Amino acid sequence: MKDRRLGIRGWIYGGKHNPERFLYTLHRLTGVLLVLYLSVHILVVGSRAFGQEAWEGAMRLVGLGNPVVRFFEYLLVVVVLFHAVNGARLILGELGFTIGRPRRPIYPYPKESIRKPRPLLWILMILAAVYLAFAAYNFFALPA
Amino acid sequence: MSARKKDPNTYIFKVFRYQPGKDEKPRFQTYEVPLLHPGMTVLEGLIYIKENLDPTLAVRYSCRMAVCGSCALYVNGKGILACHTALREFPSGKLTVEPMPNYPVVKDLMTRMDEFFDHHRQVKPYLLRPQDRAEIENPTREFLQLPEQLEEFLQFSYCIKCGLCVSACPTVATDPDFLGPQALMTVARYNRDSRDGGTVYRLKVVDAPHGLWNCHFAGACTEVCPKGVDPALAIQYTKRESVLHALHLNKLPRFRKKLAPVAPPPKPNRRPGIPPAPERTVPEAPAS
Amino acid sequence: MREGLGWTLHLLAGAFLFILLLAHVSQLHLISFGGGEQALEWSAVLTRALSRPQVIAYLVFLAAALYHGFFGLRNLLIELPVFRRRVAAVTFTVSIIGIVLFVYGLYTTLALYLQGGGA
Repeated sequence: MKDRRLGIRGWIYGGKHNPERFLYTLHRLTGVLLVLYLSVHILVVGSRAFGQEAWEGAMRLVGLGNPVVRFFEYLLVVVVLFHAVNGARLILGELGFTIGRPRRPIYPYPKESIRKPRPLLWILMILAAVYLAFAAYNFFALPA
Repeated sequence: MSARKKDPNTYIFKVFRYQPGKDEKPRFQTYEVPLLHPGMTVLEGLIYIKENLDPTLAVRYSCRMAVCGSCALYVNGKGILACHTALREFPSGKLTVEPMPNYPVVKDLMTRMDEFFDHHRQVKPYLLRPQDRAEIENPTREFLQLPEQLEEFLQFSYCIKCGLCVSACPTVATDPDFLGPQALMTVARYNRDSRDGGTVYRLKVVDAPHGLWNCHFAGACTEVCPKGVDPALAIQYTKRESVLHALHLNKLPRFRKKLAPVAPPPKPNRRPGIPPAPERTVPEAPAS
Repeated sequence: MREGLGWTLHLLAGAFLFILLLAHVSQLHLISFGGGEQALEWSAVLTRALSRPQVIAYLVFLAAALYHGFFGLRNLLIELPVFRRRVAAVTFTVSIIGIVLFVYGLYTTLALYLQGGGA
């Protein structure tokens, strides 16, 4: 018997499904990145407890002032914003606020739990994009 | 644009063929199926192949009208009920027919559903009423339920257990122990039923690793459900219930579940003033 | 209902981080709000490390972020085929890493604060 279980491949593609299914994967990916960043971040900023030299050494080590590092710092803000916005949608949905109520399934089916939160997600994404545009102006246009 | 078929009344079926134990690996076989009537369905196409072109093709079906949930499969990457999807929904005329992913294949388009029904059984899919044990064991009357209370769970009781939601779920793709959308949806179907008093027992089952909280609201189950059951909605409501229980807020009057009462016994004279029945005009038939 | 309690805290920490993380990112990465490289000068670092509200915010933030992050990671891991039957081991390992990081963060934050306060 062949088990056609998709495995991690199924996170990325498991057939033609709704966009939220891809957000699921992106949320996990950004989440893992943020946990890794958080761990390194705690270790790096902890150096301040050991005096000015340790702190400045740590800042040199992570490449402060390097334009490439600056670009990755901006990417970090993008990742944080995505995870925050999508997480807000998930929290509101999981607590039953944005997903509608059960109703008789009459064709064409309303599919409320995924369609109803979509405008909210759009609004949040637009707000996030505005913030990110402002951040990009800060990162790349303003003199450091 | 993909190449259009030559004859608008011919459909090309590219069907997944695999017989475990006999074939080394799956292959695709192509058949040409004529459109026999305008409303011809994918299932009718598969039956046409089985009857006229290749009797070795295995496909499971029973009612042919989206009630039994046997013929769930994937066409062009979309989960459908074969009996519920017209061939004319595929204007390109090309159909890639595959069994549902995330299930073991029995043969060709047939998938093994043991795990699916095991998970369904685990969540106690029946009315629990430990508060009225005597009434449940020796029922005297029905439970009273208002139409509004029925609406609370009616949508979730439309499930035909075709298994499409489980095949679409990204968590199921990596975790075979995950209960899956269907079983978790069933929890809400019974927990939201005013006749049921077993919320705590069902939460105990799903509030564990590989249970309720391994759903991360991807919504693919709702997208794919052929009966409009909206499993994602049901699961999020169960999560809300789980949060309320974890914070002990379920004891607040606002969130406490009001159990449906047992109906009172009927009165001997239902309506006074009904005249007695007239006398018989035809003699009673002799007992044979 | 331990899983449910864990997730309730995960959601609460997430909601909390939504606000605090945006403030943190704005404060330290956006030049308009005094962020960027100027915020990473030793004098600026010291000012923040010695301000009581900032230290309290750091510690709450540290706890919430570590809990949210490592509980989320644990839930991702137990869904993987390798770890799905080793839930307790995954939970234990991930908790240890989280606690070590928390203690380190707590130590570095408090050490500087108490040192600066004493001097």
